[in-house]
Amino acid sequence: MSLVSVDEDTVQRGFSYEWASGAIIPVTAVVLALIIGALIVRVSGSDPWNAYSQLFNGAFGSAYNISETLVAAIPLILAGLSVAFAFRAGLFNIGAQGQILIAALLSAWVGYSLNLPGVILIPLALIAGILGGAAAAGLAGLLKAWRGAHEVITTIMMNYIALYLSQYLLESTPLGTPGPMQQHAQPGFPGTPPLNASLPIIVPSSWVANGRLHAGLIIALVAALLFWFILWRTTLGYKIRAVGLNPKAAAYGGINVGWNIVLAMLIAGAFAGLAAGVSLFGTEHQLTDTFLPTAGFDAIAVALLGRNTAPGVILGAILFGAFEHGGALMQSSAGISSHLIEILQGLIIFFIGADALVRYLARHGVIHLPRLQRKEAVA
Amino acid sequence: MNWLINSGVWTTLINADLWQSTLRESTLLALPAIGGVIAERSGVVNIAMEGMILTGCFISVFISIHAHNAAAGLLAAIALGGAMAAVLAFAAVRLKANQIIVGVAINLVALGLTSYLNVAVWGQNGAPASCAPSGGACKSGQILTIPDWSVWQLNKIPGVGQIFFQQNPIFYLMLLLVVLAHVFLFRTKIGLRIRAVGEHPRAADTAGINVQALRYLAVILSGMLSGLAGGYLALAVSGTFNDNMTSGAGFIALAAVIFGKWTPFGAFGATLLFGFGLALWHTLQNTTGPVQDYSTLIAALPYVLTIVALAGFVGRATAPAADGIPYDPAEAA
Amino acid sequence: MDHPEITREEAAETQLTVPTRGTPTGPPAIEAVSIVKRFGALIANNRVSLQAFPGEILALVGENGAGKSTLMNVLSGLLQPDEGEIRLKGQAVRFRSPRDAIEHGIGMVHQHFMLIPKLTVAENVVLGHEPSGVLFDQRAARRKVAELSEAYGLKLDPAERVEALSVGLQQRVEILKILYWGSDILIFDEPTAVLTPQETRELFVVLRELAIKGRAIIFITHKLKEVMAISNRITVMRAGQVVGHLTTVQTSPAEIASKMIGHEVLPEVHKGPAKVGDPVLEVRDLDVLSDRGVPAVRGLSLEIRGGEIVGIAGVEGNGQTELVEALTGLREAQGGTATVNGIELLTEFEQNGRASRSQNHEAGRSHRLRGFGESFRRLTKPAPAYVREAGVSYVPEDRRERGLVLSYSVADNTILGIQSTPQFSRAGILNFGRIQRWARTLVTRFDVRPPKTNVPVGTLSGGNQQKVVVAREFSENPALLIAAQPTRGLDVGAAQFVHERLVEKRDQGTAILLVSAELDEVMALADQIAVIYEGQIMDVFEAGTANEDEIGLLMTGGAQHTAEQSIDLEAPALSQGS
Repeated sequence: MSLVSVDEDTVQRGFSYEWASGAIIPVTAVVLALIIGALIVRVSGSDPWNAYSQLFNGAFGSAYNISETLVAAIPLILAGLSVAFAFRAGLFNIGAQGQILIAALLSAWVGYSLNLPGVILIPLALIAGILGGAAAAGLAGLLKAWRGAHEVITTIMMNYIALYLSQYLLESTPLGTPGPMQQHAQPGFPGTPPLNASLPIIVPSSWVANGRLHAGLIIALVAALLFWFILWRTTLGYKIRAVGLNPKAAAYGGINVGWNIVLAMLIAGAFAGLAAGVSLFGTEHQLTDTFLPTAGFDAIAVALLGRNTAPGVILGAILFGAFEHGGALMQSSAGISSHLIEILQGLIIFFIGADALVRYLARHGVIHLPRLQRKEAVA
Repeated sequence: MNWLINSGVWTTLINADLWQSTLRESTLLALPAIGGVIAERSGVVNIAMEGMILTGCFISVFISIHAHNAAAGLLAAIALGGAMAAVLAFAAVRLKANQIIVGVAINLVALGLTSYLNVAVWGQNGAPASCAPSGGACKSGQILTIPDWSVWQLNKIPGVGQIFFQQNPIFYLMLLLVVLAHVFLFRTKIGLRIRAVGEHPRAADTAGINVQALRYLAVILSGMLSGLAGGYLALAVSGTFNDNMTSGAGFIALAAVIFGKWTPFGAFGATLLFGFGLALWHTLQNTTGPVQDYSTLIAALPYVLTIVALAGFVGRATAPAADGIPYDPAEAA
Repeated sequence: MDHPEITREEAAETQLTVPTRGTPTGPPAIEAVSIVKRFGALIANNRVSLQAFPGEILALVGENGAGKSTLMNVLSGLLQPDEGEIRLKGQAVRFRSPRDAIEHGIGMVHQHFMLIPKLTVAENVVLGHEPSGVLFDQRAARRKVAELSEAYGLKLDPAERVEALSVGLQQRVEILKILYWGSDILIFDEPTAVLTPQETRELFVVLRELAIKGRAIIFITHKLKEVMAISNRITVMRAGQVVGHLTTVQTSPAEIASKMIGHEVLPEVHKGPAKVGDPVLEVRDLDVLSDRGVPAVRGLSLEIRGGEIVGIAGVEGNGQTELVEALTGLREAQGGTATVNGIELLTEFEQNGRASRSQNHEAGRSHRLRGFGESFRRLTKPAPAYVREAGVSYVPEDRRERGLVLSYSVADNTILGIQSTPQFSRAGILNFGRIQRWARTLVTRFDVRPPKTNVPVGTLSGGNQQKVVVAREFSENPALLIAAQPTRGLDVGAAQFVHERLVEKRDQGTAILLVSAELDEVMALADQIAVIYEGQIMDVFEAGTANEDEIGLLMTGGAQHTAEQSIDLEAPALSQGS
């Protein structure tokens, strides 16, 4: 019926939801997750209080720790914006991880190949990363809009393709031939040559000794502003949100559902690409095969926690940055494996996904939910 | 022709190890793929198979050590996989939650939990050594594995013998299960009803069929099969447990489901293809010639193929019509 | 239930026009007693009672939304009643699930078929009650289905996949299914909505035979010709309540129609004479298929001039929906043209499968594909956008699904479809100041309550939601305004308000196409009344030149029907053209 052959059923099968207003569901999910996490720690013979207090201490216990938490949060903000933006269009961008990798490859390549002053090089490299991420995500969006291919599976597949691609490029072959992007200076080490510029540190060393908090934070916050602006202040955002909420009404209003799906994925991929670039030039300074190993998946939890809003994503990213850095400290001082963090993340996502559970608790007075808004039609 | 030989392609292809390895890899993929077919046929997408396999790996090793019995480990894996699937089914069917979000969550929890327990139970060095029970006395505290069978005399046939008759018992079990799954889905009453539920749950409901119960059944079966795959991976293939040792097998299995057009035999065929890709990658690590340099890229082939399949370039495959959609009887028809 | 077996031939031969049974004896086969069913604030069934006796056909009639389907879903176990009870042969029963109802002998053929397209006929029929054993005995199933098929004259190939069958044949599968279940009480929900006249005839033969064999049949329809032809008794529902029980031989279509449509007290709409201008909308020979693949609009032609309201009067399901969807770019047309001031509205598929617009050579403008730039633009601008650009506004009949984004604020909804116009945005950036002002103007002018522009529109009452839609569409200064069921679900005050705005728009020179199932509304508002039946315009009247009964009869198929007339649905009046 419409000129781009998007089956309306296909779009409605993605999910579009508008949860209860307020932070109740995310907060409850976090609390429930922490409780279950504590049980696990107890059952395996350790002390939950110790674990959690070390976790907190590691995240916020000193100026340095706070600075490190924020450093960890920076790519999560951007990746979270990526996933959140796609959610707003009714799409599930599980492929943020793959988009980050592809963007990182492009960005790093620009970064170590060109010998230009940082002021020119860094924006150039960031743009390269943005284009890479956008292309990868845009492909998934195109396949969905054009051929009805479910973006969850295509993006998961792209994650693996990106992974193998980066391995190919960064690792030596079994015979010892270096990969095409691998540096020759340290044979066997799977990484690119160092980048020719880096983002400035924005916190003075008098405040935080050895602080690593770099200008990427500013970029991330600006990106969050852009996220909000696009979605809520432009006609494009208006259309994308309409497609995510009610594709039928959008089509009736003359909005091209398929085209806006592609655009939404392009933008989502751009955010993911920015996450890669900012991390490369801010903290890593070269691309190795252990680059941002879980950012794409953390981003899903961050977006869900943040209810797909800019301020929510920022807060969620800080929480997960706290988990990450605090978790490392928790492991070294309390001896509790930082894998606990992964468990907490999974539980949080579960409780947000199964929000009916939370509503059940609300119905029976265990927690209080503000007046629910009616859900949009989901087939 | 010369190029074929010099590049190392030919020597790779005629190597019986390659094909034996293909069947081995495809066993790992086919078991959850069969489960995925059954679950999706009933209308539930089980993204969490990856996590269920991984959990199966862990528990099978754990039980194998403590019960000093490999079969017990396998059974534990099957049971735990089924239990996890029950959680997924509860969230998907009863709570009508988004199946993908919940599936992703379960994968994360499984990953974190198994890695966490790996350290908590066995310390920094991870799981202890393994030992094949038939090869002499096994010390307590070692993992009892499931060694390959050598089918009487048949494995002595050059080439073919090694490929088909020198395999793990679970491989033969898998073949049986493929056939059973096909019979189950297409020749039994329950299978008919499951398929109906996945296509048009309301129609099945009005015909008096219990949609919820069937979906639970299908999902739990997929969990059990995934658990079995985990036990296989840990006890028969690698002999130990490592963090995140599945590295995407569950997702490839999902891709095989789609590639195989939601039939057991089709999915099995797809896993052969994907298994070949994986085996090729391993083999290429040891082959000489320029082909080796591209081994990593070749490993990405199965994933590219999946996207191609999804985009419908290999013919339109249609999922069960109600796949992934929670069923709510109260919604207006 | 014990009747001598009459062969199919005998049944047809006796030309039973109306099954001539005397007063029924014994308790009703099934009885609904004061059933109440609510969906949130909506009372779908409000103390509904009816009775169906064995050996007779009861017709349940009423407009869309009258509550018929809900009641049947309760009787068939799909839904639980909030109050009231169901009695079988005098005994109260409670159905906890469809299976319960099936086991008590109730079989329902739904309006939207409950068939699994990818399975075969045999598999669909026996599903849920398969021949026993663990393995599915394909052969036994096929045999049983073949036997049934033979016994009831419903010819079907048990091995055929349902998706390959025509709609009429699919319905046969549904009937076979409930016969296989051994149902005594058969419920048919709008069975002829999707059938050709030939298939309808065949269906009626089957129904008569089933009645003679002692089944109790409930037949839901809004086609009065059929009611007169096939039923013994009639129960009429309106707005969730039963408004009358009639005996077919003692009533007439006019009486039934008047009960169905009802005489609502419509406040006066002050309407001066129309100042009519040039033709704005010209439709010629329009063909549109329904979702089922059955022609819904057949060679329809229509003309609407500026400054007049043309009302389409017709019972729902006669092609109005498809007509409107074709005109607004939401559905393809298979043939014909429809232009607004010379601009083509329709989207048609060419032979090679690509969408195009047919050209209108006589008018000045046309949308011919002009090279790559144009076709790329086409990719990004779907048909409804073109239609809007041509100067068409549309108040859709399902405002919640189509007309509004419920989570968006009132203000956001007032710009749906026009968000990119220079008035509200520049370079893609929304101008909130202007949008708010616009929204506030609309909210005031159209009396939306509460008059707040920033609340989600989903929190407004139905009437006020409709006002938002109406406000938006009216204010876009269209050349043609299409209003489909504009006052559905509105209280009297809101309805009057909408009517007044419609007349106001007309007086400003807009051409208005009004589609409504409420005949009173059409008669009060329209300057020209076009009666639609089975996809064609039966006749066009100037307002005031025909009375309600005449129009009502045309709406239901044409000439007078008396009780003795046999079913002959190939009415010669239904020829090509209008």
